[in-house]
Amino acid sequence: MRGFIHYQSISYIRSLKMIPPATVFGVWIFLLYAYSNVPILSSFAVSSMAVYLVMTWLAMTVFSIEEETEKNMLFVQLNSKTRYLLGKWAICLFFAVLFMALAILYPLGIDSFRGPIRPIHIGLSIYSHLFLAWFGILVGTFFSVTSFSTRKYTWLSALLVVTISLSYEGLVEKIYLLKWILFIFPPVTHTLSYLKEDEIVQLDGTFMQLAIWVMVYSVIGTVIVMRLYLRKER
Amino acid sequence: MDKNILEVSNVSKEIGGKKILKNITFTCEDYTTLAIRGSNGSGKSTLLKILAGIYEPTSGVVNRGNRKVGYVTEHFPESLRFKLKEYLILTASFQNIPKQQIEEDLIKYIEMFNLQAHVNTPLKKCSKGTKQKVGIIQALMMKPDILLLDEPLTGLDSATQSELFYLLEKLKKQVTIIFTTHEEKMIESLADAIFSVESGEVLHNPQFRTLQKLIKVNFKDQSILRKLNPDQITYEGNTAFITVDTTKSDELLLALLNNNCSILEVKERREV
Repeated sequence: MRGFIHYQSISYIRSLKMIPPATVFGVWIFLLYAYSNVPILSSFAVSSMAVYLVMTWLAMTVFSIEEETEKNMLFVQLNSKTRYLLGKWAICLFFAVLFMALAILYPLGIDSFRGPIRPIHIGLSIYSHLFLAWFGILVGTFFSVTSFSTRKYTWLSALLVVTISLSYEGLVEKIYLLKWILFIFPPVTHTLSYLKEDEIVQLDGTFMQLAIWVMVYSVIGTVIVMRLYLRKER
Repeated sequence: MDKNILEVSNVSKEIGGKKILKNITFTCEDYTTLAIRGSNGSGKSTLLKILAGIYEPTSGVVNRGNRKVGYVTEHFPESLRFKLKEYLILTASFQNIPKQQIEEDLIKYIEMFNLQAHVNTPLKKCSKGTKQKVGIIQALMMKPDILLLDEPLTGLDSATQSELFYLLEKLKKQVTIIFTTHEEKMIESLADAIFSVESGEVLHNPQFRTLQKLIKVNFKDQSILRKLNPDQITYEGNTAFITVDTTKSDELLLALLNNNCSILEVKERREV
């Protein structure tokens, strides 16, 4: 598996496909912290959303670097289609960690925040960036390796899912019934719900319920994407 | 499964609602070179992908035990971003083979396939023939029990084709080879058995070919040849053309020499 991750990382870096999403993310973070004295948690909420969007984009580029024959050869060389998927996800996670490090450490480094940073701020920022990065990877994977989207509408479909999941609260406020339909979309706003107010914050029972739902969704989403991928590659 | 390295029973494959393969059944023995013959669109590449584990059969079973498979695709990928040596080292590293072993194998195959001049050339800049050789080496570096080749000669010039023939001839003593082709020349020189597929169905089950020797000999007395009792013989003046099973050929050659015959030529050929 280490050999495959090495192979993938060289191939991906040489493809230069990470440059557009990485540049957009970098510019987003620098603009976000262009002013000092910004609120802590809501700034982390914005950078988490940026991670979500950019990781969707990046995952789709990671899955598009090979032509079909190279993929077929990799299946045989790895003797497993699952290992192929896990290797791809490892590359995505590597970039997610880099983006998270920039999003969390950069504002701390230039002292952008209003008020002192407490461990709970750091904890919540890691939680929100990590899960939103994973949701982005799942959405990107879903629209790259399953048969749910034709190549023509892949990007459009992924963008639609990202937009709907980001505007979940507004949509549910207008039409309450949508709440039951939109639960299949990544729970982005649930993840960010404790980062809206800057004044912290008691991590009460409601937070735990939301966090459990976010984790359960991640696990179920991962299993479903994996199964759909394996079904497509039969 | 003891003698058989591969067992395929009742394999069918449907892609996009279209039946590509229908109830394919055959077995393959260790160190056999099996040719899968068929016209374009007959389903032979799909069958090879099923044997490689790239596709799964819609119904039926492919049993290859724990045997390792090496796969050589018809068209080597065009957009690989590696240099030749770098690519081979990286793909071999997927197999948990010690680094030193990888280096040793690489030196052996680079020499065998005469690629010394290209080791540091980016694959994108290599010729089709070189890429095809790299495709075979990457499969061999996996140390496979079964080597699967999908139309290995497609698009190669005749010089490179001959070179590949020679290499595959050498390899067939070391590994079981299954290849798809519609080129009779390749079947004639390499295959021990032929399996014909047409429109996804088996036209002929594997037909095993016996290896024979064709001996061209000058004789002084025809009665000597009759006494030796060869399998098949034709005459052209004082020259005889004898066809004999390979297992009996050494004995016959010795007898011919002891009876003052001159051996002019000995050729190998296979017959169904």
